[in-house]
Amino acid sequence: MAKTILVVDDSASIRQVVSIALKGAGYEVITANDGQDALKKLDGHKIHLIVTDVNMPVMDGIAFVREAKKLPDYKFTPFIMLTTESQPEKKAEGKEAGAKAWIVKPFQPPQLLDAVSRLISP
Amino acid sequence: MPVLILVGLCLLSLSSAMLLYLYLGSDSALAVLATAVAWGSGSLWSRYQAGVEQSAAQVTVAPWRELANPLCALHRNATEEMTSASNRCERIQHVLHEALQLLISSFNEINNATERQQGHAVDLARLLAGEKVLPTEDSAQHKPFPVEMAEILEYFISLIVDISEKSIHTVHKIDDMAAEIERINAFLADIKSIADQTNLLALNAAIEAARAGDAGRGFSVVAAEIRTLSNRSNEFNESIRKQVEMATVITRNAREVVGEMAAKDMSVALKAKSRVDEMLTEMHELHEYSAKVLKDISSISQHITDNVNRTLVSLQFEDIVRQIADEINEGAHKLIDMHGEVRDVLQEWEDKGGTNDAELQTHLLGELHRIRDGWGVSRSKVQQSSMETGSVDFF
Repeated sequence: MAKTILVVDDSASIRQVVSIALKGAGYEVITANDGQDALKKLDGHKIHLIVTDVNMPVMDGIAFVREAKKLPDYKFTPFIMLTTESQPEKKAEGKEAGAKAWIVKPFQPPQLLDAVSRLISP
Repeated sequence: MPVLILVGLCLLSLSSAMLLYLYLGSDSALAVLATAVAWGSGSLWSRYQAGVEQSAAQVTVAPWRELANPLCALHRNATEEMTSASNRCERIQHVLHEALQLLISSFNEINNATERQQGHAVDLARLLAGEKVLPTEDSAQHKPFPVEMAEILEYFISLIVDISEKSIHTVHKIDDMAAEIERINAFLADIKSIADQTNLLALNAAIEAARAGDAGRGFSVVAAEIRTLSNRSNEFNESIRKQVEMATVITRNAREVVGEMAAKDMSVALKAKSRVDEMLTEMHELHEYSAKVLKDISSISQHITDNVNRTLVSLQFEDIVRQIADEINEGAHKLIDMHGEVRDVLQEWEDKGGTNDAELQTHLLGELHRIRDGWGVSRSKVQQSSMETGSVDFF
């Protein structure tokens, strides 16, 4: 059975681009517009990995990772931050929140797929 | 009057910065703006202080309304232009967003269609190569269907040709057997002739025995026995002859059947065999060609994948451009707000009648300093200046 990945980004184009790349590799994809929307999507879905943007309205990516990590079901779920941010202090924040990887946009689909397959088996 | 000049120059500086903002982009324009404000309210402040100390009493206060009106108009123009620039920026974002949604949707459709087309092309090439398109449990042990078919056909044609050759050989053997039977018939005729002569001899012996009287009575019994044996020999000979005749009939029938088989035209079968050989060669060539096509398809497929990946990288430009545009928009709104605060200073001065009161001047300049000090160029969250792929870090 295909693994499910939640893609969180306020940009519709990024949500679509990431979905095309992941679906092409055989993953199931669920999308959310921001951190708060993503927290709602965590309920009722078995999600194996989360790819999230950092700068988003309502709830940013780092706050979302912190909130999600408080949920027992998502304590050990791997998070990949996919963002235009490349400042070391921001990366440190992401690491401290519990993210496993930090990818700076624009990304190459193979880079994302490689990161995903390192964190979960296909 | 000097305060008015100072505020006017500030506004002119801000307007220049605004125009640079529209043409150069956020970071450079905001830097120019900050410089302009610093220049307007800082550097001029020094000059003004010196001027005030030199000849405060000599300054002639011009009618403040004559200067305030164009300055207010200039301020309005700057604010309108800035608002208009902000609106245009939002329109660009909107158009960009809609265009990109269409682009991604079309790209996705093309990508899916290409994948399906590729799948069909591979299936077709495999089918031409004689491979089973749908895998089965023992598909690895099976030969390609057309190859297997051609081989079975070749086996049957060889079998028919072989049977035909053997039939001709069998006809020859039957002919040999018929000749042998004919020779048996000749022997039987000889045996009959011997039996007849023996019978005649026994008859003569019986006549001679009768002529001899009592002395020949014993001989007469022997002659009778010889005649009996001769007759039995003839009967046995006749039985053999009849059996041989039956064997001859059966052999003749067999020859007719086998001969008919052997007489069939084998040229069609031989031609078919030659055609099957050609078919096998063609099949082999087709297999090689299909393997080449499959290799090409695989190479094209890799090429398509590379281009799909490149396109997916390019399609991310909207996110980067949108965030940069958001920052420009935020900058524009900050400028508008700052213009508003400068306008309030101007308004206060106007409300006080544009007097050259030192206390008022100090207060107004303090306000301008507060505005200047409150200004800061915000950090850009987007560092990208090209579509070069970003880095990946693992924690």
